Amino acid sequence: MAGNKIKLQSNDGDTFDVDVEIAKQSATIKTMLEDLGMSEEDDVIPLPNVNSAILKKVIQWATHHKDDPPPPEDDENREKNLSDISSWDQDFLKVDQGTLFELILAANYLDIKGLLDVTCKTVANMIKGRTPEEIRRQFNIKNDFTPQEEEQIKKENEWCEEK
Amino acid sequence: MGSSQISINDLPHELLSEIFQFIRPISLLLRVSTTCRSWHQIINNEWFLNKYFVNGLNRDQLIGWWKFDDVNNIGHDSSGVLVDQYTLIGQPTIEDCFLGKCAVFDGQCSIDFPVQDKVQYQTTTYSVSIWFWADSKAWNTNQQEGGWRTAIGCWNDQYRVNHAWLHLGFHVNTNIHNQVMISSAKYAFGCEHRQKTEPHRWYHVVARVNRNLQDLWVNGQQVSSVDMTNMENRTEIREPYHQRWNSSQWHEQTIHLPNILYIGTKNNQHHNPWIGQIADLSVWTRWLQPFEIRALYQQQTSIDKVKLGTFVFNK
Repeated sequence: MAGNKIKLQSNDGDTFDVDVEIAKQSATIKTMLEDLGMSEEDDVIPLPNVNSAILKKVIQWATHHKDDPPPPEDDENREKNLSDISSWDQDFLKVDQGTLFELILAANYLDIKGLLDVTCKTVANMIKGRTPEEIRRQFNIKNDFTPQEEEQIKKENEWCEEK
Repeated sequence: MGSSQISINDLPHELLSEIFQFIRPISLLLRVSTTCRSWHQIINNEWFLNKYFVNGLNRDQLIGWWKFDDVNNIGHDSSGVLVDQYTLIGQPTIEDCFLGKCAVFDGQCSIDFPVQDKVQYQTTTYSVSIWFWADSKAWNTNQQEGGWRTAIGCWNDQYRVNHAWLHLGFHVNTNIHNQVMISSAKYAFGCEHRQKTEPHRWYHVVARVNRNLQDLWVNGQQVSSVDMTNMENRTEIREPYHQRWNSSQWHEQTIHLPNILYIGTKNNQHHNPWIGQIADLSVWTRWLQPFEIRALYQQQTSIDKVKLGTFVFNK
């Protein structure tokens, strides 16, 4: 293979040539290459949990973020970064809900922390500021509480409204 | 790209947990938990909640934090705002205590921090959280002290000086007390505990202040609150010859701002010196929330070690 490229294969058989350094944003792929002794030159890396359309999006995201500093290992600074989604990522994630959830699953499987964080934040932002009823409508979730249970939980949570 | 049929509740619980970690504050998250049973099950979980509240209190608005854990740098501020910009008066020391370390004041020492140039401190909304313990010697008073002992103060209230921002301590014949000053005429507003302070006992005290309201918490209970929008609630007027305000002008009057913050004394003349111990002292530009205050006291711990998740889970 010319240059430092590897082949990633989606679960529906499509193969993508990707720069090694871009692919290594995935800790899963990095481990395959470094720890498991897979060759960059000959092997095709199969990704049985990711379909072609989602893999294409993941590669697009990783290519755009190839020069980003690595995300912090610990959770200490996590709260400070709750709502800082770049405008590029916001545009990138203007997709239907199903694609967004597939991206979350792919980011988790491929262990790409930056993509996982930004997709989870996007979903969190879709939840914030909505009532439970609005959230159910937004995500097509059935309310499986009885009215009594719902009332009881609301009562149990009243303490947190105290100033 | 074709539309996927996957829906949010098809995500495994650990990924829903990741999403919920970003829903803050806790009041919003608990409201979200009433969406459906599975969400409630994920959120109402001690492990999840302790991850949500990792590292104790959210330190975003922490502007002063004294752990007193470095004997060679006793005034070190771990919040990163004042850091090592302090002056030692006398020789406060460090001892072990139930929280780890504490500073010991002998009645002739204090730690002074210039804050007039620190924008974070030029605020009228703040909280102070402190653990303190008074030695029985604190009850031996002289005329200058008048029976007052100040754990943390910024109470420079001489004429034309408007730097009476905070005055937290106790009076030997009465109770734990905080004061706030408003306007150039120096209307002082006090919050006071009803129970008499006892020597050789640790107290967790939180004072919360903004322009309109001040309250005082002792050992996890709110013990006093004063509405400072009503100037009749003042405890005294320190400059009786200065302009007095009528109620129509009162809302325009501002709280004093700090110039020098003192741990272990009241003011630049080092009045009301503390005799005893002080531990895990923190200053915030937000009001600590009641559940945070209660958790600190209930768990007898410091702001970085408190397990808010466990506290919330057990409520």
